[in-house]
Amino acid sequence: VDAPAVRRGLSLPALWAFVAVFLPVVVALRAGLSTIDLAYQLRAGNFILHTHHLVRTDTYTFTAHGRPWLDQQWGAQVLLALVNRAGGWRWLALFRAVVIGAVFFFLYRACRDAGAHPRWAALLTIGSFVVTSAGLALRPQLFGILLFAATVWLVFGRRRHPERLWAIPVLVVVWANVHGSFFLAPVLLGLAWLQDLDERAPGARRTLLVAVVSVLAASLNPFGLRVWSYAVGISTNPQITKFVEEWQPPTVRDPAGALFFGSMAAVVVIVVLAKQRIRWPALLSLGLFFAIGLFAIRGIFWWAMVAPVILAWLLFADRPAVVGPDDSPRAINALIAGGLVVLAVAFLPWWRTVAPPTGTGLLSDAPTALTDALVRSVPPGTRVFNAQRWGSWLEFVAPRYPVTVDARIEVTPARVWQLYSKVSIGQQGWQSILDRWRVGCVLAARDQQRDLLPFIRRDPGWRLVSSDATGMLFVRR
Amino acid sequence: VDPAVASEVKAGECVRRRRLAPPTIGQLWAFAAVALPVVAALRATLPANDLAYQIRAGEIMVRTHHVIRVDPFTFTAFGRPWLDQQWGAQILFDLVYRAGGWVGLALFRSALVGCIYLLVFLACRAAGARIRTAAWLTVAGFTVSAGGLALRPQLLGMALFACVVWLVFERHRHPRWVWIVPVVTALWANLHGSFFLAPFLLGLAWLGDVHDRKPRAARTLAVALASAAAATLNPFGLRVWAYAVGISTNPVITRVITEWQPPTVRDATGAVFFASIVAVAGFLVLRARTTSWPTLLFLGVFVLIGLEAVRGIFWWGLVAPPMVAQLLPIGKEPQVDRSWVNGVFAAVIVAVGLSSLPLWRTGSRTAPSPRLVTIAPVAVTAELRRVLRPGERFFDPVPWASWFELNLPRNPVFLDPRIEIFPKQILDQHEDVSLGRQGWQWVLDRWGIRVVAADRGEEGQLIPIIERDPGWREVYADPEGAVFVRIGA
Repeated sequence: VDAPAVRRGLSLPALWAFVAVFLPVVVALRAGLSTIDLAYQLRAGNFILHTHHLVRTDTYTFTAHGRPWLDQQWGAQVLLALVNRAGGWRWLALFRAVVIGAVFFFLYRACRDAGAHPRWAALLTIGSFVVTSAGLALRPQLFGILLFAATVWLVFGRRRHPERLWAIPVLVVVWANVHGSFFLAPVLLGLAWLQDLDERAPGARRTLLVAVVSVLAASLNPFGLRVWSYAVGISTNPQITKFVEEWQPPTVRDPAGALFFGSMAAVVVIVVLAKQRIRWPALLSLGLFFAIGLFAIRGIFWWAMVAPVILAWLLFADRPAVVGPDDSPRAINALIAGGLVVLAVAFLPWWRTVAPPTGTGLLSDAPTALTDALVRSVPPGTRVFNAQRWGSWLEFVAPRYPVTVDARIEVTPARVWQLYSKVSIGQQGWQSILDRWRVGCVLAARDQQRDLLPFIRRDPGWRLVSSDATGMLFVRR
Repeated sequence: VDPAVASEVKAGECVRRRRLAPPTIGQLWAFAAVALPVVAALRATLPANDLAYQIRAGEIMVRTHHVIRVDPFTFTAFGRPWLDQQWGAQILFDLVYRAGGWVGLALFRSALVGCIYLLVFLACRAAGARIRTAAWLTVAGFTVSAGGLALRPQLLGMALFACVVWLVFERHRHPRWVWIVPVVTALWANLHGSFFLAPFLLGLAWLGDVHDRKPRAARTLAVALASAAAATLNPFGLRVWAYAVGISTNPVITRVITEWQPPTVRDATGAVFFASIVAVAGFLVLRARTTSWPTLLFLGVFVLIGLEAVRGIFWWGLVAPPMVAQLLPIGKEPQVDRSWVNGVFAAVIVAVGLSSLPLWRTGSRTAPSPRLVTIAPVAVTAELRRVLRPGERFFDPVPWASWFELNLPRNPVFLDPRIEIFPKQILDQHEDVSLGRQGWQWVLDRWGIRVVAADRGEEGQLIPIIERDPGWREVYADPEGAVFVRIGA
C-alpha cells in the first residue's frame, strides 16, 4: 500500500510556538514570589472587597497616616485578593505563571503576524523573555505588561485584522484601573498611525481614531483624569527616581541593564547585517522605546516587548512564508514538549514550602520568624521601625502594627525618607528620631540597616528579641 | 627693468596677495573645528581636585630626582606603596606651574585641547571626510568628550589617544608613520594608565586590514605588538599593566568615584553619550551600504568602554568621528570660495578666545580667582593655616584633599582622591565621620585629630551634628564649608 503513513507527534513550528510560550511559564513556576510590591496590594484588595469602597488615604503607616493615596491600581488589587482568597500564595504563584504565559503568547502571535516564521518568532519571543525576565514579578505591573503585549499584537496585526484594533480602547479601560502604564497604548497607536501615514496604508485614519478613543477611555476610572497626573507624577517623583532600584536608569553593570544594552546592540547589528532598509517610523519606535528603557530599569520591559516585533516586521514582513521540509509531525518534538510539561509539573508551587523560618521558600522578603516574634512579644498597635523592603509584608501579615515606610514611596513625605535614612545608617541621634516617632520596636534587615545594627545591639535602650539570617527584632527596654 | 628683478617683484606680490587673501569656507570650517574647543577650554575653570596633588608630587620628584614610591601626603596611608604611574605628567604639570602658575596651566590645557581636536579633525580627513564634514564630526566629538577635558594626566592620555587614532587612520596613505605609535605608547605609559588603548586600537585596525585583505596587515599587527612591548618602558615595568587593570576593576573606585560609575541618561555627559550612540546606530541602519563586522566591532568595543564608566565615554568621543567619516561616501570638495565673511567669523572666534584668556582672572597661586580654579577652598585653607600646628594631621573632605596637599604641604590629610592606596577600613572610617555615624568622635580620637575641615556638600550630614557637639567649636564658616577645632586640645 502506497498511502502515506500517518505520523504522530508535533510539528517543528508547533514545537517552536510551544517552547516560546511555555518556557517562560516553566521559569515563572520555578521563581519565587517577592512580597515587596505584592503583599500590601492584597491587603488593599481585601479592604476593597470587604468594604466595597476604594482606599483613599493611607492607614498602613504612622508616618503618612491619613495622607491621600491615589490608589490607581485598585483593580489589580481586587483581582490579586480574589486569587489569594481562592488558594493563597500557591494560587498566586500559579496565576503569575499563567499571566506570563499569556504575555508571551501575545508576543509570539505578534511576531507571527508581523511575518516571522515560527522559529524566528519563537527565538524573538524567547529573547524578549530573557530581557524582560527581571520585571515579571507578580504585581499590578504584570497586568500592565500583559495588556501591553495584547496591544502590541493588535497593533501589529492591524493590516490583516483592522476591526480588532477597536479592542484596544476596551483594554485601555481595564489598564487604567490596574496599572499606571496605560498611557503606552495611545503611544503605540500613535506610532502605528505614523507608520500608516508613511506607508500610505488605507487604515491610517482608523488607527488615529482608535488612538484618540484610547486616550478618552483611560479616563474611565474612579479618579478620572487624575490618573494621567498620577502616571506622570510617579515617573518624575524625585524620591522614587532616586531611591527605588527599578526606577534607576539601567547601567551595563546590572544584569537587567547589560541585557538591555546587549539587546540594543543585537537589534542594530541584525538590522545592519541583514541589509534591510528601515523606514523612519520604525526607527522612531525603536528609538522611543529605547529612550524609555534608558530612563529607568522598569522601562526596559516595554522595549523588550516592542523591539522583537519591530524586528520581525522589518526582517520578514515582505517575505513569503516558508514551509520547511521538517514541518511534518515528529515524535521527538512531542517528547521535548513533554519534557517541558514535566518540568512545569515539577516546579509547581505545591511542592514548596511557602515561607519557611529558615532557608528559601516560595516567598521572598517574607521574614516569617521575625514576624512571629513581633506578634508574640510586642503588643498590637506598637509602632514599628521597619526595613523598607519588609513594609509590605508586615502590612499584610501583621496589620495591627503601623509601620514606618513601605513600598509606596510616593505616599511617604520626603522628610520621613530622610529620617528613615538617618536611622538606617546609624547616624548620631538615631535614638532621638525613634523616640520622637514613639517607635516601640525595630525590625531591621541585615542589608538595609547594616550600619544601624552594631549600634542598636550595644544600645542600652534596646533589647534584642529575635535574630535570624535576614535581620533582627529589637524592642524598647 | 631687469627681468630677474621683475620676476622677483611679481613673486613677492603673489605671496603678499596670497597672504592678504580672505580665507576659504573650508579653512574656516577647519579653524572652527579646532578653535571652538580651544575657546571652550579657555573659558572653563580648572578643577583642583585631580590636579593640585599632581603638582605637589611633581614638585617633590623634581626636587628629589626620585620617582615617588610610597604615599607622602596622608597620615592614614603614610609610607604605604603608591605606584605613581603618572609621574611624567606630574613633572610636566609642576614645570608648567612653576613657569606660569594657574594661568600657565589653563593655557597649557587649552593648547592640549586644541591638539586633541586638531588630531581628531586630521583623522576624519584621513578617513576620507570632506573638510566641512570633518569639522562637524570633530565638533560632535568635542561635545561628547567635553566632560573629560579637565587638566589632569588623563588629558595627556587623550592627546596621545587622538594622535594614535590619527596615525591609525593614516596608515594606508603613510604606512611608515604607524611606527610612531610605539614611541607614543612609551611616552603614554609614563603619563596615564590609558596607554593600553594604543595596542588595542592597532589590534582593531589589524582586524579591519585582515578583513579588507590589505597588504600591510602584518605590519599593523607588528606595530601593535611593538606598542604593547613599548608600554613596559617605564620605572615600574610590567606592573603598569596590572595597575591599569587594577584601577579599572577596583570595586571601591568603581562604586565611589563618580566618573567611574557607568553613565546614565540622567546626567548630561551620559545623555550626550547615549544620543551619540543613537545617532551612530541610526546612521548605520539608514546608510545604503553594508557595514563590515570589524567596523561594527570597533564601534561596539568603544561603546562598551563608554557604557562601563563615564570616563570611558571620552575615548568614544574621539574615535567615533573618524569611524563615521570612514563610512561616509567620499565626495568632492566644493570649489574654493574665498570670502571676507569667513574671515569675520574667524576673527569673532579669535576675539571670543582672547576675551576668555585666563589672564583676565588670575589671583595668586595660593588664592586664585574662583573663576579660574575651582574646588579650591581658599578661605578655609587660610583658616586652616592659622589653626593647624606644623605637621599636625587634620580631617579633610576628599574633594578638597588635593588642594590641601598642595597648599598645606606640612599638614597630612586623612584621605585623598587616590582611593586605590587606602585600605577599606580607612575609607569606612572617613565615611563614618562624613556621615556623622554614631561613633564618629571615636574615629577622630583614635587618630588624634584636633581640626576638622568640612565641606557643606560632602559633610552635609556631619556639620549639624558636630555643631551641636560640646567637644567641638566652629572657628570658621562660609558657604563652602566650615572649620572645627576640638575644645580644650
